[in-house]
Amino acid sequence: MRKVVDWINNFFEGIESFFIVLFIIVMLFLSFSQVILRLVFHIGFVWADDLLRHLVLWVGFIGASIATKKNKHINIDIFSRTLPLRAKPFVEFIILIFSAVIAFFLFLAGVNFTKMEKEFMEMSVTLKIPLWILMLIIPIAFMAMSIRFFVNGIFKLWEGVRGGDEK
Amino acid sequence: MTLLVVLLLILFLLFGAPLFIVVGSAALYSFKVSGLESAIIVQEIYKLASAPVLVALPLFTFAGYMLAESRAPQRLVNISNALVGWLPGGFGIVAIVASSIFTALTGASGVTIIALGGLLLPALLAAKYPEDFSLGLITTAGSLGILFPPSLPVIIYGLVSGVSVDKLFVAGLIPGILVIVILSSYSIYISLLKGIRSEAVGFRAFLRALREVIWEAPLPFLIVIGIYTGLFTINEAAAVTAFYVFVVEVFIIRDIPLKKIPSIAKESMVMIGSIIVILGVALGFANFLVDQQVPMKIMEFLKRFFHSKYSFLLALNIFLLIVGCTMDIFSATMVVVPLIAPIGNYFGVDPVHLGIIFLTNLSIGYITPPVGTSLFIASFRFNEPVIKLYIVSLPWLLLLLLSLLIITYYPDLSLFLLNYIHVR
Repeated sequence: MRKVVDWINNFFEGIESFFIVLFIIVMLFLSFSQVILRLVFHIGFVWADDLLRHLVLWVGFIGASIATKKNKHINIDIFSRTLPLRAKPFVEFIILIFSAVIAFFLFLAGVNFTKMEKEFMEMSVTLKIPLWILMLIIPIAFMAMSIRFFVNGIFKLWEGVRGGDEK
Repeated sequence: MTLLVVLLLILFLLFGAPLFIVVGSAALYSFKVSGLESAIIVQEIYKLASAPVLVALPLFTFAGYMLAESRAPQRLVNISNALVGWLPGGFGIVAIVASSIFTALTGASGVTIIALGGLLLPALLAAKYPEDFSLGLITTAGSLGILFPPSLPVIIYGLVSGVSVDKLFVAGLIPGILVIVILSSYSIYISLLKGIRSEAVGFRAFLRALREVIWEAPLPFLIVIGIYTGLFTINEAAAVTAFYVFVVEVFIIRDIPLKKIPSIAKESMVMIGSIIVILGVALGFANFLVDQQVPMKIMEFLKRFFHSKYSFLLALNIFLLIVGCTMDIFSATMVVVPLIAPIGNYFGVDPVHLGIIFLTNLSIGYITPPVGTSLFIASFRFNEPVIKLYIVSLPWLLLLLLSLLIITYYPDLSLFLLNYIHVR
């Protein structure tokens, strides 16, 4: 069971990594050529700046999703050092499930926001794409984070229960 | 009810819940209670995509991760040694200068202690510097250079507070140098006290160090001059830096094989991602707080205790020291600045100066016992008990506090350069 879940999880991380690398390369070359164009030819693409900012948003949220998988979110970890070894997985389980719930609510908020924007059908002036498509990464990433928090939480619980048996 | 929620969230936070989840739930809860649409939080997150300096974040971070992955740290140490190693206290100064440059380039985090510490500590010990001195210096290394361009914390401060990032970089120059001078003096003092002899590297070795670093050497100058003369915006400086580092490390010096780039890209964006989600929800929550006039209410409360700018600043110093040792500099900036900035304004603190105080303060938090992050990173990296690191970094902590006092109560130190260097 754990193997199947891990496989699916890694499969999605593979896709996410692909997009991160793709977007970074695009950002690297696009932003640099913008500088050269401005300094040398005093011109620039109007759409480039908008595209770059949205790429940052996308790269950031995909990165946040991977951070969830790898447990690399920024946190303040003061008390858990003092926890007894036995109790630790259970405390982590509670925190991960709580995180999954909150990420799910943020997902819902994201869905509502994107829906509202979709009704307005506002277009990005420079990119000629509806804005709601550019925003889509926010609900998608929150959903991905929610699922990953949940999965990590379940595994922690399992670890805690098993660890208890072995001792 | 609200009190219960607050207490619960703090408990979750202290037991290691991700900061963006804690701030996110605070935002969700307060929007719910006030009958506001939670979609507004996401609207604030999306507004990030229109923040002016956003593009600089991933590009500088990617460049920093590539540099950390290459052999640039070794080259940086060699060239610093060739340049200032002959001074009394020389190798200590080498460590201070190299760490400052490295932290500025890679974004303030434990990276400096891990990447440079492993090189500097054995070298310091070999040069006969006392072990306590050396360990304390390396632990402090992660706090240095935070004010110099293109440091990430400065950019994030600008992003959150709306203060011009270019102005912050100009204002941070002299205070940053002051810190280096004060710490270097201590290194000189110790070396004289212990009779440590410095050795000049000789002309040949100097040329060799210079040749090694010939491709990377233009980088700091490019960034510093580009930003200070207004030739580049911050975003453009980031674009040039990332592109340049990529080409140099992968194709010219070939320190990094091309097939390693995807994993470096991923690593660096995981860090950017974890910052961006906090930034997003923190902005959403700040929107609510400002809407409810929370900063105003805090101000009303504080007015009763603090009657002058200076008593306010002292309280701010202490408060930020506590914040700085519990939170990393990014989170602290994102969470605390929206509350502090309007209050500082009320007490007549210049917004740019406030930024410099804020960042200096938080960087010192890294080595403040009992929970400063650098102490734990160094303890882990060098396999020493944390208690020992508390003790050995104490003199350095005191010197940094001295610099902080000067920076806080002498505003012109930060502000006078702005009269001469005009940036946007």
